[in-house]
Amino acid sequence: MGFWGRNSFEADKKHILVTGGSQGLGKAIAKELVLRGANVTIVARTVTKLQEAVAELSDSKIHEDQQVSFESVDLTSYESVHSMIERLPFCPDHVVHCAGSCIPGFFTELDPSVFEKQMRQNYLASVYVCHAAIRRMKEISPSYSRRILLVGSLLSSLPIIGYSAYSPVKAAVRNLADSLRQECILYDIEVSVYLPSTILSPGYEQENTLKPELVLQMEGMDSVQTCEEAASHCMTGLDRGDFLIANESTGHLMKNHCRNSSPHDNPILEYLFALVSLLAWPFYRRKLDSLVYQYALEKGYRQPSSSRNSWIFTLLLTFTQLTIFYLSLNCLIENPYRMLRNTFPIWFIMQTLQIYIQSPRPPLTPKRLLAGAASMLIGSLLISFILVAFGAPLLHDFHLTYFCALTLSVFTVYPLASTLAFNTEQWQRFLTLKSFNVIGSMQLRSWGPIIGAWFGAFPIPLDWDRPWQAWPITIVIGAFLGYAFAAIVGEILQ
Amino acid sequence: MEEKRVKCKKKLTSTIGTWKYIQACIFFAIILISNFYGLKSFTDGFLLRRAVLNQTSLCENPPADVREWKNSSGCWAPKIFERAVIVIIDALRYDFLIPYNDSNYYHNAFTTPYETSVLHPENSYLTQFIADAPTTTSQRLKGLTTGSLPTFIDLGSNFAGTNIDEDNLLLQWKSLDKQIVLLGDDTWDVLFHDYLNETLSQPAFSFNVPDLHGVDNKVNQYVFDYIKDANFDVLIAHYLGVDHVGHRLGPDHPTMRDKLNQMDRCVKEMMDLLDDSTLLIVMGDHGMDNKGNHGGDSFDEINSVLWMYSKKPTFGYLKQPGKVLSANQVDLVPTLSLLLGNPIPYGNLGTLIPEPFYYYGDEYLSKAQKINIGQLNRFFSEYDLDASDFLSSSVHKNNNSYLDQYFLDFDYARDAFSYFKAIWAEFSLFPMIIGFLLLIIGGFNLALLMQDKSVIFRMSANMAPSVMKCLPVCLILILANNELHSPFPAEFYVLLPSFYILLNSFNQKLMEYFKGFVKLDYFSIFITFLHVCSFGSNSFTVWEDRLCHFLIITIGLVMFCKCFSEMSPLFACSTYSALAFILLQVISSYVTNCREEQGAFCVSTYISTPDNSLRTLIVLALMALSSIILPLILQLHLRRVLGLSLKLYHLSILYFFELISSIFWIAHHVFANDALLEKQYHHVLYSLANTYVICILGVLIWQFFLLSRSKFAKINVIERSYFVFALLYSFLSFLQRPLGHLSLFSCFLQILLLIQLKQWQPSVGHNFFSVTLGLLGLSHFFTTGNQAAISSLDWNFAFIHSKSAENQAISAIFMFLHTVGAPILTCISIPLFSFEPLSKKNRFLINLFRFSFSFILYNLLISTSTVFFAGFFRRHLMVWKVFAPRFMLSGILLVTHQLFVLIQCFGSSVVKFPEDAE
Repeated sequence: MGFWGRNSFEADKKHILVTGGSQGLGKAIAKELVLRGANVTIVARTVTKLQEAVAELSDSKIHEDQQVSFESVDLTSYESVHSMIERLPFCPDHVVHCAGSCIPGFFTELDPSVFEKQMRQNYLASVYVCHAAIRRMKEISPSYSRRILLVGSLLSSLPIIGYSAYSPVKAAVRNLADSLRQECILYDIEVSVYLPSTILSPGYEQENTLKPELVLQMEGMDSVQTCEEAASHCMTGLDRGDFLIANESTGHLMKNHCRNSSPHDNPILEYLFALVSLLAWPFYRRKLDSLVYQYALEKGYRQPSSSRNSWIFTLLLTFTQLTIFYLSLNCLIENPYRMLRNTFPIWFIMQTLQIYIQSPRPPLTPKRLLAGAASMLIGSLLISFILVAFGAPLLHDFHLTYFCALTLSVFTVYPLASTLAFNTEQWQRFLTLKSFNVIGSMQLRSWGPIIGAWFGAFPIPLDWDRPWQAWPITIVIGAFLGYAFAAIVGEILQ
Repeated sequence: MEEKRVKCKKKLTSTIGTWKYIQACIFFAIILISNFYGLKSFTDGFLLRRAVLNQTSLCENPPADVREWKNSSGCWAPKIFERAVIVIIDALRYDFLIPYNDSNYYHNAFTTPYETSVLHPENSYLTQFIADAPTTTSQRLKGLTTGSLPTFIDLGSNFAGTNIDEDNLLLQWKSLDKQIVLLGDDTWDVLFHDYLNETLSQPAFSFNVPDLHGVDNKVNQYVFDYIKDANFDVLIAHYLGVDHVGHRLGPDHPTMRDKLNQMDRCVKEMMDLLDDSTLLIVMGDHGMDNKGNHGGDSFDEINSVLWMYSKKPTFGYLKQPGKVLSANQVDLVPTLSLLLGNPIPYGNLGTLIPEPFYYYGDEYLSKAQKINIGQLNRFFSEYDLDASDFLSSSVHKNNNSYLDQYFLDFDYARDAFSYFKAIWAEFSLFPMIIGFLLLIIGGFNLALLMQDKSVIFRMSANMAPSVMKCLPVCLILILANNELHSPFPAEFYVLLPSFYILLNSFNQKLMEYFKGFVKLDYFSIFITFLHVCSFGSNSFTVWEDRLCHFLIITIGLVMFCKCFSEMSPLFACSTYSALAFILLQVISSYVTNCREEQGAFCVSTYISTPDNSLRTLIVLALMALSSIILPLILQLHLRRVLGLSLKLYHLSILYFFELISSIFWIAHHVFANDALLEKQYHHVLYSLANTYVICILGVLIWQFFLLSRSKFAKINVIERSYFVFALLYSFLSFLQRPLGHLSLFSCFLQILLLIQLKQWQPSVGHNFFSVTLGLLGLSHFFTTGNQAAISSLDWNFAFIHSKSAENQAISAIFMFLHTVGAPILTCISIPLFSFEPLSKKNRFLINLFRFSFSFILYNLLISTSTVFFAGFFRRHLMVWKVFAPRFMLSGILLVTHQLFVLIQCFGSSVVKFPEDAE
């Protein structure tokens, strides 16, 4: 019995069928099995490779009578698979289905036949192998536990660009494993599925030649494992009796992120993983998405996109900002300079968050953020000039004017500069109110404080003798009200 | 032969064309005249006017024959008191002094006067004291001293100063060599500075409302010592604490109780210190409403109080059937005059308060009242009034009893007072409403014509029927009106043609009308709307200089955005033009001349102190520089925008005038710093100015002559127009101080920039530019050192051409051109906006008309708004300080603009374009 009271994986002296065992992961797993004293039959198509593999595996035998044999079969044809399994001199105790292939490429750039081929090689082959194997295995009922291991892919949980032919098929394989797991309770056969991440297999090099540059770049972020490492991870999982087996942290996180109805292997840890992935995944996905976006812009696939719709977040953030502003209103009236100076970092951080949420593509690199902040400082000088042009005091109270301008700048220039950068055409469109389809509600949220501040100047000359009529309190209040109004209207329009 | 016929035909068509244009102009004129009548009608109803007489009452010339008093101690009547202490407690309401059975803070706090009156009725006299509207301190002081009803415009000989020159109590006292000492409110000092004893008087700044005790403490510091020493003849102690508490905290506030208690203590102490021959008068100049404000004519505001006290018994109470103890504020003037033995001021309208005189018997009272009546009658005859107009009953019936005679005289005097009150202090609403309606209809007319593309055709076609149908009817009605004495003023009938024109032009569908608008038109409508609304607030009206600047900067930034986003080849040029426009506006906005109401928030930079400071020198240098670059800029502008250039002699003429102008102002500066030089050479300045004016008028007439002759039409009309425009600018800027000169130069440059923008951004439409132009003129009206307040007039320009300014018409013209220089400059630039390169005359005139319509419409809207709010707030505290001056300014501006626009339209109709000559 293994951990959690589950059946462990017994290999010693068992008959194990390893499809795709002539190379790569299959061979590595077969080797592990041989080392554990199992009788391994590897199945593949190319006889020469099989022979070489058998020769290599035989070196690792630990028992004298251990058998290592091979069968050359086309797994995409049910007749041949069926006959192969029927032909076997023994009933397999475990089946490890490793065979598979991957053809990467952009969806529209792939030939339609590729999808059929991928389906056949990955999914149908699994179906055939399982079908034939279970038919054979259900006839006997031994005292030890038996197991079928299917090899899916992490890509079935984390489909990324360039694998449109491969990921869905592997997802089908995983689903097949889910279905079989329950059905095989009938015959006392356990089913597992292995979701490896990138493995440095012989096929990998070949794949790389097919992959678009972008896909390589994205995978570059992942660690790559050798077949042996992957196999030993797989064996660990099998030993524990896991249903979903993953080989590295990303895998653990992602398998739990989209677990469906699959049974839990380690409830405590997996809930934890699920939690982490739930929180972390949106950011990671954003990063991936922005990579794609950037690539598209670079290669001229598309125009810059409109911003993302994240209205709840925007409204929440706006509401928070307004609450903070409302709470500091007394301070503003008492000492505008101190209030503007002290709250400035809050606005800055919140706006950064807002920019990050709203315009993920192109991604908010530190460089870009820095450029935005620099533009914000320049913009604050420009806005100071405009305020002075409108009649703000120049010689006295300039610190007030400047901080008022800085606050305005955080709400207008900063997001715009971070999003539009130095695209003159976009700026022109912004100034003529035409850029709604590019930067979305940001257009309104940037105009809001400007127009609000403009209207905010109105009460200043009135002879009410109120303390809040002092420069620049009404401007700031107007700007915030304008911002709130524009944020709400902007999200409604979007 | 054939050639001649063709030529003849061409000439004929050209003449017909000109006639068509003139018809259009006449039609335009009809609309503008109806606007003018609207303004006039409103002004008649709104602006109360009063002629101030220069005569003063003389001691040796009593108005009534009272023989037995001839050689008495007083002037016209025997002196009863030697001295008077006049305590004015600002905003003291009647009920503050009367016991009440409630717990309001302002009741039962100031009790001494009432208690004394009850205990010693012969020594003390307490009465209700009804003030006249407007209940503001300065107007009330005028009323309290002259006995008259001050109106907004007191047309007198000296129109600039704030000193009162009408006959008044202080003048009379001063002429009898009495020492007048003032303590407290410095409004007295402003009004009567010449009459006060300068060593003893202690005026205190009165506008600092938050300071509740400053003025009172200052008064108390001196007043008791002065009363003890008796080193005065008339002591005026003006307390402001009650008024300030009212403004600041309202009457029902604990502080008010403290304040009234303090006043109570002061009055008690004064009573103790008083000697027998001194009269103590405690009074309020007006009341306050339940929020502590005043200025209007509600009962609480006019319901003030008067209390007189003396150590010796003085007051006898007359049993008048059904008469409450109540006096009008003006009544104090004759009473005090006869009590102190000085002549009653010439223009007094008050009636004697009988009680002090009745103490000495029926006969004494009746005689005193006779003097009062005699003085009133003398005033009526001098004022050209037939006294029988308002006398219902026969007056000078000789009755047996002195008391009956007195009552008759008393009623007569009161009737006279209410008659004058009706003509001097009440608005007539009907003409005001008619004026407003006329302006509104005029606005609709202009708005409808403004968007009409075939405007000339429509106008010339409508002219004849309008005149034919309306004129006879109007004339008949007006004549009949005069015959029938109907209640309608003649302006009422001007509504008729105006309305007829409106109905005639209202043939477009509303939707189609708005289709003609482009985006920026809506923006300019929005800006106009804001500006129009701003006159509803006295603060915005006071700060209109900043408001105009604010709106122009907004327009400038919008223009900048528009130019910046345009992907035209002129992108960069027009963007820079917009930027330069903003920059010039910002720089010129630093030239300010603050008005009084702006207070400490505004710093005047326009003040022209004759010193050699760096600032003045820099301004002079910049002015000279502007003179040098003006022709160059004009040349550059013409070349860039229209591809034309000025002739060399044009440039030299411009340089000549700019040179004289610079020399004049530099010399002016030098003389102002050196009295000796000025004495010797001041005539040089006058001759320079006269030379300049005569030369420039000569050149202008010559140019106009050239423009209207077909013989010279081969020279481009556009160049000539620019030249004339530059000459007019030079003339207007000559009539500005150096700093104002620079502002006007900035205005000139901004106009050129606007013209450039209009050429480069043809899609913007003319409405936007006309609103901008209107605002620009107004804004530079302020930057050339003016405000919408009468006190801001710079009278020096009336004397620019000669020291004594004998010819008042010429002085008035200079004053006018100086004051509204910037608005005129914007107005005369309209034709330049209408030129397009290689434009035909018809096209040019259509542009001109449409631009003029929207320009006039903008100004009309401003005027209508000021008219409306001046009428609406006619009872407002600030009406005479803020709303009425602003209404007068916009009235003057509208009339000026209409006049200039009309002249331009008529002139352009007869100007020969090159194609006419061929």
